This record gives sequence, C-alpha cells and structure tokens, in this order.
Amino acid sequence: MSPRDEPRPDPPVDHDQALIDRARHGDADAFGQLVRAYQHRVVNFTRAMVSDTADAEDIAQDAFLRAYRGLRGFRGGSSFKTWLYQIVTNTARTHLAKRRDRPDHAAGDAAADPEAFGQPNTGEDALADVIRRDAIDRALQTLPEDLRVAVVMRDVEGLEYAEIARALDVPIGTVESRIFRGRARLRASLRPTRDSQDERGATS
Amino acid sequence: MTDSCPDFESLLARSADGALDAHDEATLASHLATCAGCRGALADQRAVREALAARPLAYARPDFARRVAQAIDADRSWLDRLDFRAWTWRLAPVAAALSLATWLVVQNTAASLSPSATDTSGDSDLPVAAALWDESVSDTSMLSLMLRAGANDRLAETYKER
Repeated sequence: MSPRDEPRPDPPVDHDQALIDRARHGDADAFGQLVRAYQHRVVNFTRAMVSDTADAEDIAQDAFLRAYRGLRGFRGGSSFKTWLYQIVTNTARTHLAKRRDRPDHAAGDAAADPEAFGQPNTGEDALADVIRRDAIDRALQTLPEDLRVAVVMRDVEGLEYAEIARALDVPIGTVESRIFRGRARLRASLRPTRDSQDERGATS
Repeated sequence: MTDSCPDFESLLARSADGALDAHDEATLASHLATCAGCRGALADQRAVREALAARPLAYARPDFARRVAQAIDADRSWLDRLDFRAWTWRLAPVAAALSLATWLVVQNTAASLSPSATDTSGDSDLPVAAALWDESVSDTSMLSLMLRAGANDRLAETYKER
C-alpha cells in the first residue's frame, strides 16, 4: 500500500475540543494526542512548503510549540485544524524569510532516503516515492509564497476553499485566484516530470 | 501558460477540483464552447491538480511527537519562571512581611512626630515664624513647635535660656 492510499482522516471536531480543554488545564497527554493526530499532516505540509526534510520537521515542531503556547487564546472561532494550519503557515513563512537571508542555502535536500520521513515502506517503491515527491516539492519552490501556500493547502493537503480562506485570512475569491495562478505557473515546471513518467511507461 | 479570461479564473480553478455547482458548471460550459484559451487553461489546471494529488505523502518520524513533548517540557519550565501568577503566589508571604514591616515603620514615625499629649496650647498648626511674634504662645509651646519644625538645637537652647 502506498502512502497515498493510506487513510488519514481528520479527528472529529468535538474530539479535538475535548483534548484542547484538557490541554488548557495542563494535561500534557491531551496535547500529545493532538500532536499525534496532526503530525503527519503538518509535516507533509511543511515538506511541500520548504522542500527540505530537516527544515520541514523543525518548522513542524516549532509550530506545535507555538500552538501549545497559544492554546489559551484559541477561542474555537474556527476548527483546531484551520487554526493549526494558520500557525504552521506563519511559522513556515518566518523560516523562509530567514532562509532568504542565507543565500548559500539551497532548497531541497534530495536525500532520497526513505527513512528520512519515517516512510512506512522501504525498498524500490519507497525510493521512487521520495524522488517523485522531491521533484514536485522543488517545482513548488518556484512559486511565490502566497501562491504556493494556497496550492499546497488545496491540492496537497485537500483543504476546502473556505478553510484555506480562514487559515490565510483572505476572501475566498483571493484563494481561488491564487490557486488558479499557482497551478498555471506550475504547469510548465511539472511537465518534464509527467513526460518522463510517460516515457518510462512507453519503454516498460 | 495558456491565455484565459480573467473573469473565469475562479470557475476554472473550482471546475478542475470538481467543486462547481450545476449552475456555475453550465455557465462555464457555455463559455468554454467559444473560448479556446479557457479550454486550454482548464486542461492545465486539471493536469497540475492530478500531478499534485499523486504526490507521495511525507510522514513525521516515529519519534516526532516525543520530541515535541520534550520541547514543550523545556519551554514550560522556562515559562514557569516567568509566570506572573506563579510568582505572585510564591512571593505572597514575602509581600505580607514587607507590608507589615512598612506599616510598623509608618506607625512609629507618626507616633514620634505627633504632638505631645501634654501640649494643650492648641497651636500645633501654627508656623514657627508666626509663633515667634505671637505673645500668646507659651514658651513651652514655642519650643515644641521649633523642635517639630526641625529648628536647630542651638536656636532651641537659646530660646529656652530666655
């Protein structure tokens, strides 16, 4: 079973709220359950945003820490998931701004190491997955941040338009426009990957 | 990039997701029938969406949650040192002791500055300079006034000798 095929449903909102209430009162295990429920989503998101394995985990960890600190301020106006994506996005943006100040840093680790992200299966399939993901994440890096975050939230994470609008605090029309423009720009950079896949299919 | 009509960007993006309602889908379909640019744009939108949907997921390492918990523990102990409420409760006995000490000092100072119980002349509020020219002020009261006003000892002695 490939990672894409594995179910990764969101926890029920009521379940999240109960855990949040407990975590607010100092129950560390309750927040730990929230971390375990969302860790893969968050790391997948940050990996697509920064195209770097180590940075993606650092950002995800920092984002969960910020979420824990800000838990008292979470009023439930949106879902925990949307609120968490808002924090993760801001954390990733801060990281990317710092990275821009380090011109020697090249995005993308291209480690091609299936173990790097706790990949559930190893072997040739896993290696091929890592290579494909790295190619896509590198293509995503060519987008301006505003377009990238909208496209990643929609097409990689599967968030609804309304959720993206709340997480980014912009009108839905802006989200639609960013997604359209982001995909349009990506078409050129993703074409080689698709062509190479077609070639592999034709020769096999 | 294919040239498309800006007014149809939102519909094209949503149509590629299959997220259009029937009315908007019909509106877009009638436009696509006459606009090659938007037909090309929709094909691009769908192609990219499919490519991204096929992106293999990245997973957190198995020890990720534990490392987050450790970071929170370290952060929490740091925050505890800055926790105003925690400080308030821990310092409550010290604050109470300081308040009591301050109150005692104030009481002692007030007692030392208050008019003597035997001084019944009723001139305790009279300025010293005015009292010097007031013949009705007794010598004892004048001395008391000067001492309280901080007059120097020599002046007080001189006045007492008179």
